[in-house]
Amino acid sequence: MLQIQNLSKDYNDAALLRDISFTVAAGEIVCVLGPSGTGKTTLLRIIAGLEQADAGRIVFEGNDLRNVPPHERGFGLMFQDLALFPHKNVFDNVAFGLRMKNVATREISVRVNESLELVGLDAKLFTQRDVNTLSGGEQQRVALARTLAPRPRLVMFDEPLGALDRILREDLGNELRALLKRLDMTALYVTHDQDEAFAIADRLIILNAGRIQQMGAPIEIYQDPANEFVARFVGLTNVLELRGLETGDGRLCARTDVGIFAPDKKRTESQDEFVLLRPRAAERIVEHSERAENVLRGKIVETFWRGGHQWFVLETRAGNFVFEWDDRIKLHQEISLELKPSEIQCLPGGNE
Amino acid sequence: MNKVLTFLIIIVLAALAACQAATPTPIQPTAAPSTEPSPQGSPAELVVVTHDSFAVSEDVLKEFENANNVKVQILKSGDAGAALNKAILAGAANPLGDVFFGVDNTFLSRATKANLFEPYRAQGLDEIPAGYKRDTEFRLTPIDYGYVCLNYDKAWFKEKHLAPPQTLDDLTKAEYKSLLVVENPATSSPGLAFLFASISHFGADKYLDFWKALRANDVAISEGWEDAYYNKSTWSGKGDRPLVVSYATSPAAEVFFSDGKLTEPPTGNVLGDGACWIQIEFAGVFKNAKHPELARKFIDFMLSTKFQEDIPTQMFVYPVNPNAKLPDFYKFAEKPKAAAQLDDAVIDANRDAWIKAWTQAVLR
Amino acid sequence: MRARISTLQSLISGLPLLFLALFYFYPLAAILAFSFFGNGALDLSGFREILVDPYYRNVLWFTTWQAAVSTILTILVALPAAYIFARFQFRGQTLVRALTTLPFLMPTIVVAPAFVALLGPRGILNYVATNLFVGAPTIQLVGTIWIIFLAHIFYNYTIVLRIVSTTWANLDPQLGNAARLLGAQRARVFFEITLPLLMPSILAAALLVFIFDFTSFGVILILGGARLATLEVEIYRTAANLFDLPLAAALSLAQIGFTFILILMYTRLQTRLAVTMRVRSQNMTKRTLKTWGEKILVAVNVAGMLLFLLAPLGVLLLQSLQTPNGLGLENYLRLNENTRGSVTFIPPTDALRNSLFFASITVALAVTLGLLAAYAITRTRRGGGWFDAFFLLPLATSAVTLGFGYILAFSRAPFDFRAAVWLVPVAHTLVALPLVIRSIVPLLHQIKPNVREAAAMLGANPTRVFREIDLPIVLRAVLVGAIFAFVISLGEFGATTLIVRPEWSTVPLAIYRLLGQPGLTNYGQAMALSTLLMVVSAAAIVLMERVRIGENVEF
Repeated sequence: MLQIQNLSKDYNDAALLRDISFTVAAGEIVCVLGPSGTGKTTLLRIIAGLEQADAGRIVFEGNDLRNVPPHERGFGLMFQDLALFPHKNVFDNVAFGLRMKNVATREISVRVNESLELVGLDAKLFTQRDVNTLSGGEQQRVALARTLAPRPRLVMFDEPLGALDRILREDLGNELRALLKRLDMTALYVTHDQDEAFAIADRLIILNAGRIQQMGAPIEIYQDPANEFVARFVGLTNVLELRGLETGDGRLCARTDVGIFAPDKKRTESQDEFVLLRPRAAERIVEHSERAENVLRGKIVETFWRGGHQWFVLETRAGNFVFEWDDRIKLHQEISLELKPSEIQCLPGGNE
Repeated sequence: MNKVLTFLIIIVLAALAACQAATPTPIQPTAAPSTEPSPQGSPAELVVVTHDSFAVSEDVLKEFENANNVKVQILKSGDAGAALNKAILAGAANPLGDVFFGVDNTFLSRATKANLFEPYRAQGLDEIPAGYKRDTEFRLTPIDYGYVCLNYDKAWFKEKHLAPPQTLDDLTKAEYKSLLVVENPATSSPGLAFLFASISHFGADKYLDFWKALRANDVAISEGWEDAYYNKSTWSGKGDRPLVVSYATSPAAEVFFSDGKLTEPPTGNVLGDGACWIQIEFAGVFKNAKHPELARKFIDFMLSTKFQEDIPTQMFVYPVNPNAKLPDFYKFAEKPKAAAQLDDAVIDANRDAWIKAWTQAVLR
Repeated sequence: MRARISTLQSLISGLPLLFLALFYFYPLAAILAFSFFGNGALDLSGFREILVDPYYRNVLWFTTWQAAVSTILTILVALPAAYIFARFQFRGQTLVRALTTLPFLMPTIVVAPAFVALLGPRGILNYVATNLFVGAPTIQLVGTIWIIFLAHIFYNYTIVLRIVSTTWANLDPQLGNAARLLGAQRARVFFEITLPLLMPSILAAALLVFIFDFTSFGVILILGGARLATLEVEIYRTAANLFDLPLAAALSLAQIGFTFILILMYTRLQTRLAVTMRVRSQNMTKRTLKTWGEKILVAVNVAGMLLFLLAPLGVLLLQSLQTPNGLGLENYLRLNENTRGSVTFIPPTDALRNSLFFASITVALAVTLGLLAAYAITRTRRGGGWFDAFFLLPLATSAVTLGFGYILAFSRAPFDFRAAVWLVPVAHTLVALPLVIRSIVPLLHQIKPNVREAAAMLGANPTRVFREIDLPIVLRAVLVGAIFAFVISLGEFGATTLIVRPEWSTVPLAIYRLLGQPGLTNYGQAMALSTLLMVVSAAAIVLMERVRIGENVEF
């Protein structure tokens, strides 16, 4: 449906977006995830037509959008700061897009009410409210209703939940996915928050320094991060620097400052620079391990609960590592941690 | 949104409505029912360029218009100086109108040098005293004259048991300290006239001494006649100066504009030797005028007794035609026996230098 | 599509520029060319004279410092009122605000007598002083710098009040509250939060006031006395009386150049200070007076303001009632009497109608062009500052210079507009345009670009965005601009007298004519006409302020 082809954009002579290509299928929710300042917003604005790319094409349903101004693209965009019209009340904000499409007055009021109910606002209570008097969450919902009311062909979200507190964010995030699916809308969603992204997306695009690092379903990315950056960004932080590769027993062994690790995955290549130890890699805690490889030695300095599991922090010579472990643990103990080879992986460096 | 549009529409409509309402009745008598339709067809339009003080009675002008099948369009453009400057800027090739009225003798040379006017010997010029005919080539015809004089507050001097000054020399005396206000010759035409009077009286080499003495005697300077007369004079009720440079006819005008309340002017003139300056106003036919024949007729008309007798009440100056009768209230207007004069060429050669020297001596 | 947008945009910025080019730059170029090349060869003697004669340095210095001091004083005096009008809702507010505008439209020739009557040697001030303190010396204000300061504050008060209070009213009071929760003192809130946010509009007002004071003419000429001269006065003397055009042109260029540099500095500063912020509807930020303290604050301020601004106008009213036969309405009743049957007599009611007609046209022209220009200024990333500065130049240009330029430029082909009536509102628009633009630009700057983009994303084309977003938000400012345009047109004298045909004569012209002749009835009628002008204008302004747009949301 939407095809982005080799999009590039410079900003102040520095590359902001480099050779971006991807597609969004009809009814799909694609989430662009990346740290701040990586050009996510610019990407959305280019697709919206609010900015021009230096190179590349945007094709929507087979039509090149180069010469189509924003108001004729039929896309929706929900801004990070919402950009509600301060001089219009809730009703007029939501009705705006419908009026621009010359929808009949009677139908407008029906559809405004519908849209408000859709985002969980009581139309009776809210239509006449001044938008400046609404709470943050209510403003968010009005902005969402405004974006969705004209039923855009593609709806884009620029960190729409950014300003909200965590609970509200999670609530709205979940609701939003359900809502988009219910309306069968095609959506492009930009955020720097991986939880939000994983919760909402059918497919993720990880962006860093203007380049796409990896594309795929959330599970694919989590299970097989393409590089060290993606791994760290999706929360897989147990990453060791690789000092050299050795071949023993027909397998690849990765040498690091704190021992040798031998993943059982095939993908171990010469450009790899890092070793990833997944949180679930912890297999056994012993005082002294007999193994020559896949052992990490250190001191347990902290335990905590998250997501229904117990986690511990292991302090080693190469830094702190976090593992999931649903058994009793003694703090402040020198231990050897034996790891599952299946949860170990070699990774290339980030794609700068 | 609609209300915004409504707002704009209201503005436009209001403007249009005002336009309708404001379409002014033209000044010249349009074919009034009583007027017989002119056989020659639609009247020509004669444009008279003049200054803001120009005025003429409606019936007097109508007589000229009817006699010549013409509409007179009066184009005013600022005070006397501005009007002349405007005419000079527009240039001789492309005149602003047909007739110019309002060059005075202090600017005579500037006007003739600009070469704007066509020579014309008007009918009736022979009856005009030679003293008013300053342009030997007859490009500019004298129409009226007046005097710039010192007005004094009669009541004030009476109350102080002080005799009003008689001559310019008196003004530097101690008893008249802080009593005089004059206009700045750089910005005011009576101010300039008074400066010329002082130069005529004391001579080009001595007049600055007089002014320095006046400065020492605390003379006040106003930028214009309005300020001096209405803000600084004692008879305005606001000022503390009983001596003001004004016009010889001002006392008469005070009576005329008092709604019959005054039977005696509250002010008098200082008429002593050379204390007053004569201002003569001239009119001329523009070169390249659209209607030169009518323009010449208008000059004749301005010298006719009909127009000349209209001058005193309309413009508060004297007609140059000695046959013209003066209105009754002019008995309050006094004429000096001998007015100060300077040669026009001398004025033109020195005007700027004199003003600058005056500014240096009096203001800085 | 893109081509269409750029055509629209060039039209938007092109129309005001075209206006400026034809009615400002062209006549200016004409008079400069005439002045410097009048004798066939280039004559730059004027510049030499300016540089050599220390007198002109002194004039420039005096012009600058009196303008700077006047500006600062005006802002200090008007800021408290701007606060009160922005934050409180009280009865008679609209009327009071309308009254504060009146000084702006009064011709100096009328205001000067009023000031003299109040502050002159035999004025009320001295009457009170000598009666309270027996033997006190007469306070001589007339002819000193002090009366110039007072007159400048009197005239320009309303500029600061209107421009600053418009922005202040849109400031979110929550900002101040938030800062106070963080422990900031009231004073610190003002200096660290409110003032920086107000700065763009204060500067906008200050620039206008400065230019008005810098080019001050009538006030200096009449009240300042002959010994104080600004550049503008000097240009007038040189051009109109000495007819020394090379020197006058050099002085004019110096004045324009100096002001232009100043304007550029200002626009730089303005872009640095511009903060986009959330505009709040005034319903949210305004409140009624609650405590006695607030009531007293407002009452004292309004009373002081009215006393200062209206006392001189009150004197006019009083004097308009003085006739040769004592107090009465005769001056009013006999205004339309053509006692001498003069053909050039214009009944003052006709003059009033002409004035209102010109003022309405000026409002329509200035608001339309001003909106387009302000929009172009805020939307242009580069060159916006220059664009902005260009429109302020007419204010910085000596009226007599431009007037001469008009005669040269518009009395011959291809633009023979001699005696064209519409030239009058055009000239008025030239003066009003900068005020309209300055009123609107700060508010336009406050609109986040996001909000416009959001509208575009919802399907609004650029014209629609302007109509739906920009226009309603700046409407309040447009109204302020419209009122400025209205009063400028009503009070304008210099340009009108050079251009207008006698039958289209305006009220200020009629007042000048009356004051040009001796006699008590003339003076009384001039004052009556001034009073009439004030009353009609005040009514019109109140009416304009009454126009409410949108669902009770006022910006």
